[in-house]
Amino acid sequence: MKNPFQPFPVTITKIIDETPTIKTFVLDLQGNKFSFDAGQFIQLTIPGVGEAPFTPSSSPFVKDTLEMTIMKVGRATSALFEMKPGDSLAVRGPFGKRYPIEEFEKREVLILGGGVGLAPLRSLFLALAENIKKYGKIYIKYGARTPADIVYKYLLPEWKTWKGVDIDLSVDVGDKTWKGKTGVVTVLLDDSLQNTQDIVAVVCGPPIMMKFGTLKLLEKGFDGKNIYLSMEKNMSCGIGQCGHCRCGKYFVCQDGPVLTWDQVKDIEDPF
Amino acid sequence: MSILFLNRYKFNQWLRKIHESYSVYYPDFLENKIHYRKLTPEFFSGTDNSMYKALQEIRPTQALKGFFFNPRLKVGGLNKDSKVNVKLDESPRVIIGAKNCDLRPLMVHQKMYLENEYGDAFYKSQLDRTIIIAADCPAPKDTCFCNLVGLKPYPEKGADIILTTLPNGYIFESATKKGEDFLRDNNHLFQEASSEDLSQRNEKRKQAMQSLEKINPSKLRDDLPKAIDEKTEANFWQEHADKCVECFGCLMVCPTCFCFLLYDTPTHKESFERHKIWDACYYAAYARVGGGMQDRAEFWKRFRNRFHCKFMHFKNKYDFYACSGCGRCYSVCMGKIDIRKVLEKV
Ligand code: SF4
Ligand code: SF4
Ligand code: FES
Repeated sequence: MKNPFQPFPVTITKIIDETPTIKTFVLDLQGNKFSFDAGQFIQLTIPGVGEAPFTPSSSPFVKDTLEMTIMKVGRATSALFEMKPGDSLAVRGPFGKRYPIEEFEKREVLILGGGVGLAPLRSLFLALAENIKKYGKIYIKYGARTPADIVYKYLLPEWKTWKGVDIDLSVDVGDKTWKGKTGVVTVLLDDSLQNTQDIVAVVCGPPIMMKFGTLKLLEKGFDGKNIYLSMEKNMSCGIGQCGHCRCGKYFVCQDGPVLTWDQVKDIEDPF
Repeated sequence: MSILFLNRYKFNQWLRKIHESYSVYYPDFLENKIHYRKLTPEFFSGTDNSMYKALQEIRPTQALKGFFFNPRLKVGGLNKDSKVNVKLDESPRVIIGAKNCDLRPLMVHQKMYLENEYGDAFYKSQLDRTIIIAADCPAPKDTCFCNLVGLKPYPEKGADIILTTLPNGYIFESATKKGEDFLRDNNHLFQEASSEDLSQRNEKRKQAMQSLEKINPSKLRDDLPKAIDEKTEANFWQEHADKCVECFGCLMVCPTCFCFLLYDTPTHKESFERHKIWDACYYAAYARVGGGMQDRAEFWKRFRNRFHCKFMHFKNKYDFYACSGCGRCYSVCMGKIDIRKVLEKV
């Protein structure tokens, strides 16, 4: 019997401290058959506590491990933050739709992330970077609250050196060491972007950032069908049966988790 | 498919026969209401014929849904690294006495669980092991409104066998191959239904429909899904939601509600069992995400969601309402919220 509610066990091999409230968990898949496409998510079981949905941060091309960058926000993530390398978790999935990356070919891609929202976008970025010549320029525009809240500080300098990648950061509140831009992430959406109606924008961050980020993109001439939004909803089954992730006529677990602005614009309060 | 007649005095003989190979559930009175009971040998020692009467009442208090979509069912888990054993119960059973308003819900669940990429082997096995014998409703009550949501007061789709009580016996009509074979197992007890039996059945059905039309004279508007969508004023929903005492009984008795939660309980270190339990969209935690945010934080929005789900999204997608008019939600409501009245005013 195929049982979509049954997870398979995985082991934590490494935990990376990203910021005071964000950690990256590296999971060994213990030889279980598993692969995902950028955009899909998994249900992660913390044994005895329950499940929560997360989008992998690692490249879909990496097969035997899975990385997830997670912020401590509630019951499940607090329990997760107590765990150590060697501890067991369990995984179901992948679920949901992938980004239609073949449609991104020859076009510029703008990755707009806020806070821990860069985490799920990282797997898309790494997937695009694998065949970087196929795409136009890839912009990463990333905002965090303070310099200490920036994730992947140890990766960003290397990504910056990749040809075809343009990275720009901002923080809401700077400190003595901060030499970059300050202000909410939308300050990075400046006039250097040309032909905005054809640029693919992928957005992930806290609800307020998603809202104002989208409005700013539209104002800059981006097309609603090219704005991809990572929707955060309560999830239980992950397979379109339990009702929890309802967003207008969509079940975000099945129709999403990424929906375009054109899909959600008529929904009252989509974020 | 055949339409057979069973004499009243042969009914228990037939029951005894099927009880040899099946668990049998049948409708019976508990105080003034109808509940399912499991048939035991003691049943046959009594002389009381309350089942004959019970079959002519409206739907049982508890919905048929629970036989297939169980309130709580173990669906998985891990014992350290090995899977928790989940066994499917495959023993055959017969359920007698469901009404049409409990059959549409099965269609709703089949859309949600079976016509889904992943399916649900648990639900499927519960269906496969069951013969559903549904019965006509000769006497609808004032809580009934199956006619408003496009149903008749007698079984249409979803039963294996359709049962009608007549003064001197029962009509059994097979509606599926499974039902036909099941009836044929005891062929010797039945005879072909006569044209007189059938015209009696027709007459009873017509009367039942007429009384429903009296109970619910005004139809739901044709553009109901659109009207609900456009009803965005908080006031409208708030006014009804204010009468709600938030017991959420309406959602626990509703035969069409399909929401569930996967709920884990720790067994010992790193081990847990996973249950699929009924859930409902009125609960404050239902749509809440990790950080505590949700898009239906105000109760009136959760109240409205029930209408969006049953009368808009489901209807738009599958072309029938995810409500069967069984009236259970109104029967249990302490605030006396009548879903018909809300829909009328939309
Ligand atoms: S709502 Fe209709 S089908 Fe249900 S009990 Fe009443 S008359 Fe029968
Ligand atoms: S909403 Fe009320 S009337 Fe409709 S199916 Fe559910 S309990 Fe029955
Ligand atoms: S999480 Fe269950 S329907 Fe989407």
